[in-house]
Amino acid sequence: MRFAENNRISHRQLYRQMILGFLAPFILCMYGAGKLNGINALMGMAMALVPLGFYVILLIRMTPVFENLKKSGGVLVGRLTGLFFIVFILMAGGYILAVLGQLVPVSLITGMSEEWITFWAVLVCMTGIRGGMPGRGRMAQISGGVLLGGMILMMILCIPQGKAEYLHDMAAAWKFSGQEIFEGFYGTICAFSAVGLLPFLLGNVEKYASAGKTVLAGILTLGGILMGMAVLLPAVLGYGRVVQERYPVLPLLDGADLPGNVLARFDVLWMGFLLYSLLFALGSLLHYSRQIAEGAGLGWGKVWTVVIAALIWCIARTGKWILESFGWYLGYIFVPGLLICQIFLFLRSKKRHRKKGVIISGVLICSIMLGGCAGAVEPEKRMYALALGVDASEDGLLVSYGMPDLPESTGQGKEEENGSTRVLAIRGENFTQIEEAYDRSQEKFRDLGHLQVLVLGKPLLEDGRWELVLDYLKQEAFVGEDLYVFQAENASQVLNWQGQDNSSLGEYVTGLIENRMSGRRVHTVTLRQVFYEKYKSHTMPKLPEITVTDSSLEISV
Amino acid sequence: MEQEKKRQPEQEQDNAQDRKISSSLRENEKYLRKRLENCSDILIRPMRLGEQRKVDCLMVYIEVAVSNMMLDDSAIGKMINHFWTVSPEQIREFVQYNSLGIADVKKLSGMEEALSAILTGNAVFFMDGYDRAMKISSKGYPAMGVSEADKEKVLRGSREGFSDSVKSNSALVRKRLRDTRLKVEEYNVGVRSHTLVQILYMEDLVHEELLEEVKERLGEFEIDGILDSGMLEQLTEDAWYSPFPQYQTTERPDRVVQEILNGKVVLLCDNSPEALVLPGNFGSFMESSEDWYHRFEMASFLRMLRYLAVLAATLLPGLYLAVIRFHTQILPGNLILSFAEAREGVPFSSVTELIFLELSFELLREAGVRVPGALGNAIGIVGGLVIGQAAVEANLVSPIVVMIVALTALGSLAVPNEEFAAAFRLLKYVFLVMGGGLGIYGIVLGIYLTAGHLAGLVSFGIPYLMPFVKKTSGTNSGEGIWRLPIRRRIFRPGYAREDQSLRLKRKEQS
Repeated sequence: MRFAENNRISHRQLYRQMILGFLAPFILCMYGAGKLNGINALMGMAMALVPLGFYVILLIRMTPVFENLKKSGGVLVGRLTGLFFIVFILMAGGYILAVLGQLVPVSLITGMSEEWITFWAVLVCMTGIRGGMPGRGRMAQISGGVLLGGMILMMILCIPQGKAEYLHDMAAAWKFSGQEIFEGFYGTICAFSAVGLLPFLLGNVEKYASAGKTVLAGILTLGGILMGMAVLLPAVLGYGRVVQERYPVLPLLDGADLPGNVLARFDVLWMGFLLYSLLFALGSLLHYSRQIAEGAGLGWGKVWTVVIAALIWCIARTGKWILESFGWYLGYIFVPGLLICQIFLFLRSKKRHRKKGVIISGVLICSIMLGGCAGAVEPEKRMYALALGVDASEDGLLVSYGMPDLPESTGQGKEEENGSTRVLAIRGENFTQIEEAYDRSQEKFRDLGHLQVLVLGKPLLEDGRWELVLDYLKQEAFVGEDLYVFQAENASQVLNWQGQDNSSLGEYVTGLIENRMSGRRVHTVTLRQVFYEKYKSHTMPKLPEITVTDSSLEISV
Repeated sequence: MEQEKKRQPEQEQDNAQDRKISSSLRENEKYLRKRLENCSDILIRPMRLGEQRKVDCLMVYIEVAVSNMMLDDSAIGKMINHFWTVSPEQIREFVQYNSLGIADVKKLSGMEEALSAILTGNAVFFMDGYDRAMKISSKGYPAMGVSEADKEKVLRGSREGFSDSVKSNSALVRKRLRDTRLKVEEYNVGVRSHTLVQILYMEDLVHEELLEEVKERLGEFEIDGILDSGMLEQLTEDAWYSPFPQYQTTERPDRVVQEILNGKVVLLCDNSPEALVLPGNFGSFMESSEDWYHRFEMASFLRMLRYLAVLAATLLPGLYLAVIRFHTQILPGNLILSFAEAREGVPFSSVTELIFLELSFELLREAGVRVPGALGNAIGIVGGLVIGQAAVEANLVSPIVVMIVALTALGSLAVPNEEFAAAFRLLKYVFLVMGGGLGIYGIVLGIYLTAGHLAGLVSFGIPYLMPFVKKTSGTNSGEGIWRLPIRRRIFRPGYAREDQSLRLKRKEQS
């Protein structure tokens, strides 16, 4: 009967839960410095999908054993197994939360403390488990498809940014290595270790015995996306950069365009999708902890959820420790441990609302009031630099920020409160000093999110300090990678140039480049290409030059 | 002592619960006069009928509800005139065997039943020597007639809307569903108001469990009075704390019929022009009755627009704040420069500015609803134009914020169900605070919370997010965003019994 059946989730809901819970953690954490990169890792990944398929079939058969750990394993063994799973959940949850706590303040909202961000995440995830497994199933069904579709669409939009020569680099760096293939293989198995929690989920799935195809489809979808991403990342960013960045997935969308130019960039949406998936993964772990605690007779599940949420938050606060050591724990303790527990239980079995929601919502709202808005800056309180010029000077560096004339650019004719400055030049030994000098002297927030042009002085290019500039831009999370890079004798002089229609350098140069038919296009170099060369060979590509002669501006290769 | 005195009337009341109508008219009259003491709106009329005026009778009724009782042109009037000319034996025979010769008459045996009939607006006729009373239906209480459905206007389809009278409302449904399988069950709810509540359903389509559950919930509480279907809704819904309505409300009989044919149950409550349709779900709140009268392409397009409207009504202010306060990089350069220039000189933060304007709009809306007729419309227009324009000119708000608030308002007005739109109007403030405080991170947290809440909601065992969380994809009934062509709408939605899931079949040609 349909009315009673609603307590169990459908196969479609199971599939989407897998996608939602795994996608972001995998995409974020499997690639980058010291992780699974290159062709060997790709081969290892593909090979790992085969045993994972068999493992899933075994897990389906073991589902009844996991419905009541105490009953199937005995009081002591059942409780110990339950505790082991809970420790795994604690560590995995702590890791995911630490990743989230690291990403948000750096890539989305600067100036907000990591503690608050992780606190809100845990709080929200706790409320998300209110509807039990049917609720989580429905949540996955409505949002899983959107997330999967959105992420695949974004990956497709990235394809035009890819370059065949970048992929050649990956091929050139390849040398057959059994050890690397095994590392890719075992790394993928470790990443999928949370599949070990599947028996706790399958108990709530209708006709779970026939859920094998669904779970396999989930694993294959995830595997396909992972392998696709393993090719896309080096194709877009360059192999050298992928193996050196911590989270190479984050800048993937920095240079992608949306058809119709509705949005200048949509990396924020990409981040939004990733965050939602991370929250779902965390919520799922909290849900399982409650289910496991109840199944293993460890006491009242609701209390466990709160305790585990608090512990996860504490673990995430340690930050670096969990981020660096979770991989080790996973490879050497949890994956073998989970397998031993499952095999043991399998063999042994062969022998035989309301108030909480209101309180949590209250706490959430109060905490947002207390901790929120730290990184918010009103649009009129920002200094939108459209062009950035860097010269070598006697003191070290001379940085010039080129801003638009707002009343002129927007045509609204409102005068700025304290008048407007077209070019702001600051000297300093390095960028830290320059930033400090800016903070001391300027009232407006420096917004480099709309930077269109970067002009580097020739002396800077010759003495090799251009790498400092790139390092500085790398740490500025909001700088897009599709900005044009030029060289000039004197970058500051170029920035002070003013067009006949009072347009700023950034607007003028962008127009000059983009408003030409393809045959007459000026040769350009983007920041992404510069990064590619830097990570590949620590060299600067040949930059087009900007010259100012008799109040006219020219670009030459 | 005082407490005992208080208890006495309560005990008398209890005894009255099972008091039978006596064959002695004097006894009945004495009891009625005591119970109806100081009820000057209720008339107790003793009469002597028959050839020699030997038969003592009593007619009890509410003055206004049965004002024309004694007129010659009414059925009762004719009956009484007739009784003056016949013998007492013939009168008794008429009463006992022919139900007074009037069509709409019911025999009553208990005093409480009789009183209830009187209070419902009927006349009750007692006769000496007969231990039954006769309930004679009359025009009932004064009520508004059938009028146009104001809240659910359509371009195509019936103009009729429900009125305050539950009997008229069920008649409007029956007018459209002339089938004996349409059942109308009546209940009295409210220990003092005795509000008449009707349960309407299609006997062979409805799930029995659902029907049982509805009846059970109606009997679960004891309240002094039910004044509107809204009270009934809040008392019987699953999650009282949720801002989302769990019953669909409508004042359109054709909409009610559509849902009954889908296998749903409808509750009609006296003195309320709003019918409650249950179980309620996301898809049905986004549907308008004319969706099935328009061509499918246009109807699908309009549905899509409504879903976009929901997103705009909920997320737009929050997203605007998130973008201009945290993620300016995602907007094209010229646009963000324009936003920045527009905000130049505005003394408030963008969050305050937006909340101020949103609340102003809510005030205008509330004032427009309370003020009668054309003046209400004028308030909306004048308020929107004058306040918006004046606020921009005074540099209190920036023009872009006026646009955001206007788009948000349009979004919430495009949602067909007012209660459902109201939930999103409230949520908008949550997103506004979260987007303004935490940027996209806050918006993602908010979406996660909302999705979690909606996924956990059920209405009478049916997930609230239906039809988007359907377990099977084979039987598309056209409830989602895409409205099926009528010819392809072969199946009923999952609310109907499985054996009755077929809605449309082609007749075999002879």
